[in-house]
Amino acid sequence: MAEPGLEDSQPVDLSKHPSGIVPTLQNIVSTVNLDCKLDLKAIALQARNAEYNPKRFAAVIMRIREPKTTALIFASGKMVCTGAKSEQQSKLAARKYARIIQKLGFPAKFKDFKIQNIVGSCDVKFPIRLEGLAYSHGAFSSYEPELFPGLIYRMKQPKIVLLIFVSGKIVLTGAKVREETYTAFENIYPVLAEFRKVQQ
Amino acid sequence: MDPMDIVGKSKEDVSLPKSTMVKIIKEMLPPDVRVARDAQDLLVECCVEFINLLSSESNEVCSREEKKTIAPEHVIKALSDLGFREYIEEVYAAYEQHKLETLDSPKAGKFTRIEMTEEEAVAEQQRMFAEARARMNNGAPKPKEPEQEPPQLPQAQPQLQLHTEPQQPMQSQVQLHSQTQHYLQPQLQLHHQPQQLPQVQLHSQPQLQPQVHLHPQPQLPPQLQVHQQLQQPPQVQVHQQPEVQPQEAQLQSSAQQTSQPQPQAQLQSQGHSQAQLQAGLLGQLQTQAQTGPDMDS
Repeated sequence: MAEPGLEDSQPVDLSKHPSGIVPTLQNIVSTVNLDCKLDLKAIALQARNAEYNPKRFAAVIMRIREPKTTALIFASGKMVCTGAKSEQQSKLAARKYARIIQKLGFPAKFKDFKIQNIVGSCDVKFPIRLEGLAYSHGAFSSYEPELFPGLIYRMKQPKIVLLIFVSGKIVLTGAKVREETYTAFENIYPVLAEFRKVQQ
Repeated sequence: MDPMDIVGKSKEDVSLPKSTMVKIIKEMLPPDVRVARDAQDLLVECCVEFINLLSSESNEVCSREEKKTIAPEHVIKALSDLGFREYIEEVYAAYEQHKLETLDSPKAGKFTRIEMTEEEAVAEQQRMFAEARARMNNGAPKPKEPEQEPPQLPQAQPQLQLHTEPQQPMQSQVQLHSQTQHYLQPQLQLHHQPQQLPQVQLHSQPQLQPQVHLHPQPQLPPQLQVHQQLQQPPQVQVHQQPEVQPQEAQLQSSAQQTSQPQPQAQLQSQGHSQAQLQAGLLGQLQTQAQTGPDMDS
């Protein structure tokens, strides 16, 4: 998680964020096609920051420090980049991985870069009655405290899944663009306020 | 040869739980019938072998259909192929019962419940969001204004101080603090000061009878202030207010009426005689009266 005061350090545009809270992006997952067949064993042997265990997983796992990310590189030339905190960082990291593959002697290109998932989180700073929320929004909620302590809320428009915890912490996942994350939170905030737990 | 080798199992391999198996066996037998321990072990081994046989055949059925996951249908087909057709009806009934039981369980699949269409779901959710937003906007409580604490009175210090308070239209005053060892008599003063709880201010003054001074200030609630300004001997800090002649009193009142609000000047004197202090005060008051309202002191 980001620092608690990070969201409040900069002034919030209330026209975009009426709740006064801006979800912090925590992870970006992106894909790109290097458009060439790769010898994963050769990559694993030549690169220092790579691991390859074909019995465990059929891809090379490569990491770089800046931006701090991890890539899964498949023999087909497809690559998945995870761990970036912004869209720009994700694209920059993917380009760095492609450059590493090029330096290892493969004719790697950079085709069809796409953000596949954005994960954000925030804190509404008040406890929430998850049972009441699950009952009132039963068609969209799944709350099984014996299996998982959070309520899983499936928003239809935008198509986002939210994990809502009793502490008031929220995780939003499934967005393709950050605006979807922001819209989803602004949609759910009045509902959360409605089910605010009153402290005795 | 070890009998365990016949079924191709070693003693370290996993087996069915014996206690559960014994319960199942006893349920099917009359209460007066006992089962030997060897018979229990043999039954357990037979069940393990049956499961192995059925699993292997189910895997072959699954492979023939080019599937990667063994489904219940594959197991039923395997029972038929192995010659256990008489079991199929009961197994199928148990399977249907299992499906009914898992329908309402948390681990049931996503789409087991009968749901509305996608368009209806979107519309319903948007309506619920709109209602919640309207309720939040309509019933939003006004933010509480932070309570303002009453300001602390500044402690008198043995040096010249200029207190500039532009928001409070104060009359120009000159207060002389004399640090002398006299018998102190308390003096009650009533001040109109903003945002303070009622307090009674006691100013110890030498050689004076207790007097009441009213300093009116517009649009401010009257408050009593108790302020005992005493320091440890031999240095006692007091408000020295000299005896004023009638002419001096007139001068003082006219000066206060004509002069603009000005900062308080607190003159600290140490070791001066009372006559010198009175003369200095009189001179200042006369100067103020002559300058008029347009001059800044």
